[in-house]
Amino acid sequence: MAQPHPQPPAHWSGSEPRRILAPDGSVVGPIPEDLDPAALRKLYRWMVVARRLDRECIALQRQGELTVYPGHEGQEAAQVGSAWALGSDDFVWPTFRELPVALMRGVDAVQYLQYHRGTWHGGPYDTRATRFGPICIPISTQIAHAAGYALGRQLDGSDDVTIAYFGDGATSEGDFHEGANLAGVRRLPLVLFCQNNGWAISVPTASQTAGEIWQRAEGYGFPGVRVDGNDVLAVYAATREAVDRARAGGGPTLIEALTYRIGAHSTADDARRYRADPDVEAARAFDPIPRFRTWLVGAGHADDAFITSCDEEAGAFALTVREGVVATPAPPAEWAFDWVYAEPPVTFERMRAEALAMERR
Amino acid sequence: MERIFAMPDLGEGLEEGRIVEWLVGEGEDVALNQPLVEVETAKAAVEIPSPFAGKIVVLHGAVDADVPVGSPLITFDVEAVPAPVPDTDDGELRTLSISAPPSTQERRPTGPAKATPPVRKHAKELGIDIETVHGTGPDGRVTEADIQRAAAGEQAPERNGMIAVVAHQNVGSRLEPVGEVRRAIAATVTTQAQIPQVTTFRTLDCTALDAFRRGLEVSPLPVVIAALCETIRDHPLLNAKWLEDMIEFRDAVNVGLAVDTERGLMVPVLQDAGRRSIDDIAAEITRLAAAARDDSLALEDKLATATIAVSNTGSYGSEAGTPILSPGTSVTIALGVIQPRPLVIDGAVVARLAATLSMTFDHRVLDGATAGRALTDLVSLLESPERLGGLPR
Amino acid sequence: MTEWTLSRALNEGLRDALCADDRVLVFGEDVGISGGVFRVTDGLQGEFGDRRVFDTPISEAAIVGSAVGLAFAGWRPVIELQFDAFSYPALEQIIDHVAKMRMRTRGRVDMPITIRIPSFGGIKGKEHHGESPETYYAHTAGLKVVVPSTPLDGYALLRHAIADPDPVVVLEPKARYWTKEEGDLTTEAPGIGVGRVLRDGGDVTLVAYGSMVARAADAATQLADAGIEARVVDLRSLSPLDDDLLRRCAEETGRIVVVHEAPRHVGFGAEIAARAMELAFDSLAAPIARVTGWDAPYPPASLEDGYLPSVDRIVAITKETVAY
Repeated sequence: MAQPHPQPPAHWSGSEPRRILAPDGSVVGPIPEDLDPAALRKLYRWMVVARRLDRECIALQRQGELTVYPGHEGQEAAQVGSAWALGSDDFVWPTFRELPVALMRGVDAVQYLQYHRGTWHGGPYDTRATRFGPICIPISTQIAHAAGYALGRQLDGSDDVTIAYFGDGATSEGDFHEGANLAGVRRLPLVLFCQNNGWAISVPTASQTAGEIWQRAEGYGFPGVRVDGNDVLAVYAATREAVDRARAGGGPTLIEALTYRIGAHSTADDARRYRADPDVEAARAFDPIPRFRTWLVGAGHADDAFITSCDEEAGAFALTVREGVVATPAPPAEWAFDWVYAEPPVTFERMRAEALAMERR
Repeated sequence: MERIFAMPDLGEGLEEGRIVEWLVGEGEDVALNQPLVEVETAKAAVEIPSPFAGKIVVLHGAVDADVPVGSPLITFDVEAVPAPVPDTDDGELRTLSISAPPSTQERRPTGPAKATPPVRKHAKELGIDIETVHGTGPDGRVTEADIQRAAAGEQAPERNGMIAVVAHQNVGSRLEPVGEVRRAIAATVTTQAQIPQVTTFRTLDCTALDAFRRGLEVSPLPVVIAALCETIRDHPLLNAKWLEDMIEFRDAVNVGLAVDTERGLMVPVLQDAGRRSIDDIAAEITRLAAAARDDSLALEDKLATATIAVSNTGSYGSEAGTPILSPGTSVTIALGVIQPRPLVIDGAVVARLAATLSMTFDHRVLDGATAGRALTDLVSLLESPERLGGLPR
Repeated sequence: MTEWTLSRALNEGLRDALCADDRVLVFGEDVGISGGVFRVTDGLQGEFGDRRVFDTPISEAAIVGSAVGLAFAGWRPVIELQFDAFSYPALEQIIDHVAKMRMRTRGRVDMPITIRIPSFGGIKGKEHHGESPETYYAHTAGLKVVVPSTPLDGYALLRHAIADPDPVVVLEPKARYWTKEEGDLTTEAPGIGVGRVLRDGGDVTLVAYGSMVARAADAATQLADAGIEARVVDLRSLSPLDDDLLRRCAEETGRIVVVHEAPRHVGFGAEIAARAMELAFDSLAAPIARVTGWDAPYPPASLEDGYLPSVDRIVAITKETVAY
């Protein structure tokens, strides 16, 4: 008996997104020619590592080692596929959910997780060395930063590309509009990458906006693309196209990657209050990892041994990160004052001395 | 080795969790992240995975028990593993140099006086220029005690009260240094003179007073004070004080007595005169005057504030005076010299013992009429043998 | 000796900064060919080109947000937010990012951003064109806030602000843009965090900034006729505040009168009063007086004079303070 077609998530309705691999792993579009088998295997490995780490982080939170953790389960393809399209000098402006991208840019996971451990804010790693900006909590504000950074590179005549990640909710905020508009007017080398995962905490995309997010680009004077965000190959292809265009001086692109937030908004959120478990289970039929694995193995690019080794490597990596997180102490009290000013005023120094004297009592 | 796993804060400030179901048992070996227990919090039911691989030794808490965040949940027996070196620094650790804050409390030996607002206010009420008061508090701060000393005309401790003598050539004059007391008096009267005050006078026929006081073997002054206390009962404004938008009426009558000493005018206070007998008042006057003169006033004497003042100007021959109000008072009575004077009694001029009684009053508190009526009553009392006889002896 | 208006002096400051450091950028609304609504950027685009001096869309949040990104890319943005009240859409970017980014990145990324905002009232302007936003900015840790009052000092403060590796908000008193001062422009003036005594006096200190400095000085002249010698202080810098100067004034004069346009409630005068009390309580001979705007939205032009602290009001309240 044929399996009934699974129903895609509600917010995937409307215009047909670009797709290379169907949810069941069958090929429905052109496989990108610039990805050799080694690269394809790396894409798979990154997604597995990202998911395994995500699960470890949730466990760490349940064990009191992280305070609040926002999971990315279900969004691995959107992040891994797009990050793979970036050059080493290109710069990423993330939200607070881009741990997979951070890993791929070379950000140390333990340092990244300091944010969720409460031992620092979102930038204890070297943002310039990793080309990965500080974790940004205020929704959409990083889009304006990204536009400014792209402008800065453009003014220097560089062909570096900037990418801003944000969610469906962010497209309602003013900074999305202002940043996108500025990018269009100045023809900035900027990729605006929206992961439409269906939920802004508890608000579904249908309540967030009436239009389709990718279509807004036309209003700003540059192309918009809708892509199946759970199809890592389609994501890679669309992002690569946008990055190349920007690098060649063709201006910005808005990519709407349709995906699904399998987990709650964060460990502090009880998603059952606003969505039903069956809906989440239905979305699992569109899970990016099994889909890609099916094709990868079927196309002969990977075997069972490789798949197993990915799981093992992911597990080992997660344990290493766990050890690092658990061993991360609270910073010394002085650090609350050390980096506020490059040239601290006398009045600040006096207050710092007063505050630290109190600490020592 | 033993490791205790405490109930974690599962959701941003929760205080406790309720055990719904234990998923493992004591003595069981568990793997890292193996589900241990289902816990219900205020927000949701949560499964807690094991933080260690090891053996469960103790499960703390039965099903349905509330376990506070931070208290033991499970005791494990785990293999000892060397703790990994924490990577706390990402290469940017600043060397800490906490400089001591620059001193903001430099001692200023000169410059405007330092004093807290209540002290300043009190100084003003007492008519003392705070700039002239030597401060004995921290950093040279002028204290309440310093003000009191200044009010009593006392010398402040540890201070040389002499000013340098300035030598003048060819001027034909002479300069004399002044002591602390004179300086204080000068400051006080200068300030006091700024209060709007006028003096009203009455001639007092002292015949009855003289007879009465001789009978008691006291001087006239204690009798006048006792009579004054009696008068205050009907004229409470005499014992009141101006306080900006209010008048303060005081119950006790503390009489400031002007005493002439070698060092200058001092005003020791005879406390609670209204409750003393004339004999008592007389004895107290003697004591205070002597102590003022040989500088042996007791602490209570120094700290008391006058509510009304009396000046026995007659003691140095003055017939009538316009005394300046003492700090803190609204009325000063001056008793002029008692001597025979020609008075008109029943149409004829007769020689009688008489004196001029002056009352200087604070015009903010009393008017001419109120002051006049009070003085008239005081004079009536002092001229009436029957009423004199009613004063407490 | 050249005569400078505040607008021209600031214009020269921007010019000299663009010359001295080729990473300086000047941008905002109408700052390019038009030279800024107050002409403070006049001629700069012509001289330095539209790569370094350019107009932006009407997007205050993105103007400041893009400055953050530009700082990451190694630029030194000098931005203009056209009017005080129109800076508010950018508050989130200023408070959440400009002020915090250095600490967030543990000192790796500086925000050498200068935000110029024509501010304050006194020009009979329309609604929202006469606000005093200084408290919002001064209250934000990580920011520095300066308020020039004269042309020569405007030049110096702006140059200091642009050179500062920390973010500086420069609130320019628009009512003073056309006042004139003779002299040579120089950066030799005291830096950020230092106040200035315009006129010495021992009876009372008038503390002011921006447009109110001139009014305080006029008041001091009138007070002198009444036998009161008032010291006049131009704060110049609201954050950091010149603590030492404040303390000395309290100790030496014992009386302080603060003058500012902003409403009284939680206005900057409250900080002056608290600080002076903390530093020199025993020296205070009278309550610290605040002559301020009223706790009402900034009024229409025809009622402006009753709102702003007039010289008469300053004189009257100072006399009360001296007589206390």
